[in-house]
Amino acid sequence: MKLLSRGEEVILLAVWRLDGNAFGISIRDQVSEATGYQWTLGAVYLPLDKLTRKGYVAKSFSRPEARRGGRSKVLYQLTPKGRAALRTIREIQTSLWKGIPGRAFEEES
Amino acid sequence: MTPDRISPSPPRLIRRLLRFLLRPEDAAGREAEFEDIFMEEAREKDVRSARRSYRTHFILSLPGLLKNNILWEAAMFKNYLTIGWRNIRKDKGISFINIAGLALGIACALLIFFWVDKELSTDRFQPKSDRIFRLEEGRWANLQTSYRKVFESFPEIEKYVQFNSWLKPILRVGDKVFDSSSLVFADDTVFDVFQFNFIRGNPERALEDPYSFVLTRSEARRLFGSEDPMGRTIVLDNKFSYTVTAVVEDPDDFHLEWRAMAPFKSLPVLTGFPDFLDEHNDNFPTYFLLRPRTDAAALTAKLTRALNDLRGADGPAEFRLRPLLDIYFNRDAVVRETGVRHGNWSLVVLFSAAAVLILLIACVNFINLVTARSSSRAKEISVRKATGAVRRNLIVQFMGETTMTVLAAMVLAVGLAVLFLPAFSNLTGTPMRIPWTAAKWFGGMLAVFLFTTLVSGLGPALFLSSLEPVELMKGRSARTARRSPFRTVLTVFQFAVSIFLIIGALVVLRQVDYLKAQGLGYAREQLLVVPLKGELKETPEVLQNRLRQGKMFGETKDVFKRRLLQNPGIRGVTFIGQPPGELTNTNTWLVGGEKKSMIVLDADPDVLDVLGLQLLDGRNLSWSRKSELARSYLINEEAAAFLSLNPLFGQKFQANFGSSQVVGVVKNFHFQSLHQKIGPMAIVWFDGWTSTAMIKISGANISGTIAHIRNAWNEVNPNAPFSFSFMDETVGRLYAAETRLARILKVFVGLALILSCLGLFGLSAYIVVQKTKEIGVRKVLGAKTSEIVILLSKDFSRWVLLANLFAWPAAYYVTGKWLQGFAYRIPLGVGPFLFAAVSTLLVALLTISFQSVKAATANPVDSIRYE
Repeated sequence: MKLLSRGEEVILLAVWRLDGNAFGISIRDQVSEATGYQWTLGAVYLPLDKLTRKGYVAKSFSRPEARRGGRSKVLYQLTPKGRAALRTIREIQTSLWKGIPGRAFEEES
Repeated sequence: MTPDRISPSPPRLIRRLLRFLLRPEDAAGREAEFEDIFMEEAREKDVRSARRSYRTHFILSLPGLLKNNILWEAAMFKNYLTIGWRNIRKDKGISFINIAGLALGIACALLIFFWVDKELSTDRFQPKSDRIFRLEEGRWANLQTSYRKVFESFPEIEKYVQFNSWLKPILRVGDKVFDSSSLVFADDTVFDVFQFNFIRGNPERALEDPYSFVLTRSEARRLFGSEDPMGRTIVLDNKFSYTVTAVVEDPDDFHLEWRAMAPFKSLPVLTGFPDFLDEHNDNFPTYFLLRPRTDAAALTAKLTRALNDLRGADGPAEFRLRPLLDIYFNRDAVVRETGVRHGNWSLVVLFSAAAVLILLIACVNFINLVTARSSSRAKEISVRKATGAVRRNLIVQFMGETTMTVLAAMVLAVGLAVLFLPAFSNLTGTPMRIPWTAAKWFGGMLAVFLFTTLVSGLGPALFLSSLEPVELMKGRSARTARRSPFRTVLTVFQFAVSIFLIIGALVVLRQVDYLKAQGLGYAREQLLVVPLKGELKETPEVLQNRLRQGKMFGETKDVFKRRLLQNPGIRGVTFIGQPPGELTNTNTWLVGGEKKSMIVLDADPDVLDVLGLQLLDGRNLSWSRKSELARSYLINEEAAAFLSLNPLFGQKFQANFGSSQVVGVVKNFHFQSLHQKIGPMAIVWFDGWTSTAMIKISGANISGTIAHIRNAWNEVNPNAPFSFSFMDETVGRLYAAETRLARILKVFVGLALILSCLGLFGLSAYIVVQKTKEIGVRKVLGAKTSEIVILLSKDFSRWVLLANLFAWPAAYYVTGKWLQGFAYRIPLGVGPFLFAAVSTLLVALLTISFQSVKAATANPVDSIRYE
């Protein structure tokens, strides 16, 4: 499996966490909060479309909402492939982190 | 939100841009998300700040949005490339016309771009250019040395530098002698004020020693060949040794022409006047480097007061500070300046306009051919649209194809530019190199590329993408393609430009011929101009000594003249101040208490004979009346009217050498170029500052005669190089700018015509193909070949004739304006206009005939079966 880029990974995680309520704005809020800086929608769409094309997330359309003038939201959901990818990422991370003493960062700062 | 409140909306333009950038399938949803953020902010704060942050958000999103676009288009892009390449190959002829035409136009634009850039950058490389000013006095750019002490008393003047560019000593290196036509003398502050690129030596000390000598690269090569010039000795006037202390790059982008430089402070010794720098000596261009933040206007006022105090009896003069960057394009600013190179602003404008026009013609070809081909692309467009392509995809595709073609053309154009650079340098008279590594070069290339791509790509892309599949399927496109008014306008424009250029070129050519053939009032044939040098040209010191001793004639000159006249091929010799055609020396006389100044020519009594001037009244100067020397004048008709002496002959007035009189009147002749009206002038018998020998020879054995002159020269004047020119050539040089303009215009005419015809050729080919069936049917019904040819040529002829309507008034106005620059000019007749009209029509018909005749003679059976 090809490794995901950092941006894709963060977005993918956000989609998973939002669990069914993932659309442009909510993803943006989620990743902005997590990373600590404001993401633009443009910056969200790029990795999101890449993930869609690679089949890690799937698009669906919400029921039209009166609030938005009858327009429906585009919702994103993890596919099984996406779930597997997240698991792999996690495994790679843990195996890489294993054995690094906790003091490593303390010495640096 | 209540329905009766108008909902706030984000900026419309941004919204449209956003919609364009979003991919069609997600556009609606994503646009709404942007809008949601906007609405939220509008509710929480206010609409204005919401709109602002909507804009910021869009701009910050741009990188992501654009990258996303590229990501999705990548797959399609490969397809576009394939189709684009197939299209180029399918119509090899048309593609060739497209690429070659564009390449020609681009190459031309690139070359002109460099030339214009070079012209505009003259003096601009000077780092202190904003603080450098030239001091001018009335209509003169050359000032006195005696002003120097005034300059020194002004703290605002950080540095001043005076140049001398009229003293031209003979240079001797070893046993070889050289002219010094581009030698200037300058104060050692020159390198503080101006910057030149030193290859060898140190700018701070280059002119420190009074006998130091600075060479440019080309001059160093001329004097020393490939040897190292540093530290070598150059002997000036066979007396004074100077040492080479520095070598600089040739200052091609500097307005003062110089190739060698020596210290100003050596002038007192060189001229033999110890007080040269303090005395009243005219003719020195003077430049100031002002301190930062100096008020030039206030300084001018103060300087004027101080300098006029100094002038005292000479009378007050008007002084002016001209910024350095204002000199190069201001040929008419002052009458008298020496060694200054001038740019021609109208030529810069003309060139830039021509570059844009020629590039536009090339773009028009491209547009015409692409839109004409729309019928053949119709099926592809319909299929794409039917399978879900939106307009944006098609625009991207067609712009991509244009980009490909333009890129190919660019590569070809750079090759062409390199190939034609020497010819172009020659044509413009400006040596040029392509600055491969300069940022400007890339900037220029990019500008030309973007201009060409946008102008030639956008129209067709919008047109082709707007076609409706349903209409295309119905086959309506063929009709729209043929009758497009857009294309008619473009073709008319192309030919209007060609016609305009042809008229311009014809008028310039005729005027130049007229100038050259114009009777000048003196005989210029078989007349040699020999500039005097060395012993024959007396230094101020020698001249003053001679005059003080009462010797009115230079002995060497006398010997030279007698020696020359021994040859039967030499009809006459006269020594004069300046060759006719470029007289500038002015004297002021006191006539009846009134000051009158006019051009004065130093000469001897033989001048009428040698130049073939016609005596109208009175008598000639006479060798036997030595008492007349310097006090008797011949004047021209204009001067007779101007002076209003009564009686004309015998009435005394005050001139340079005291009480003087007029003895004869000569017929007006053109002692200046034909740009100027003949003004009052006088000829005085005076062997003073004569600079030129005019030698009248017979037509037989010219080379033998010239050999004789050379021998005579070497006998009396062995230490100076001999050079000569023919008077008719010298006269021709007066109109060098116009001759050059005519040559350049001819090239532009050629290019414009070739490009227009290329386009016409392609266009006619398409139209013939589209009318194949019609032609077949007509032939079957009995139409003659000639009728078919006429049918096919009718439209084009109409366009070309229509183009005349636009080109004529423009050409009439512009050429009329240009002709006004000449005091003597041709009348602006209908000839050039008719010629341009007929010739373009013929060329156009000839171009079309390749296609039309082929179509008209084709077998109708084949034509009808076509498709």
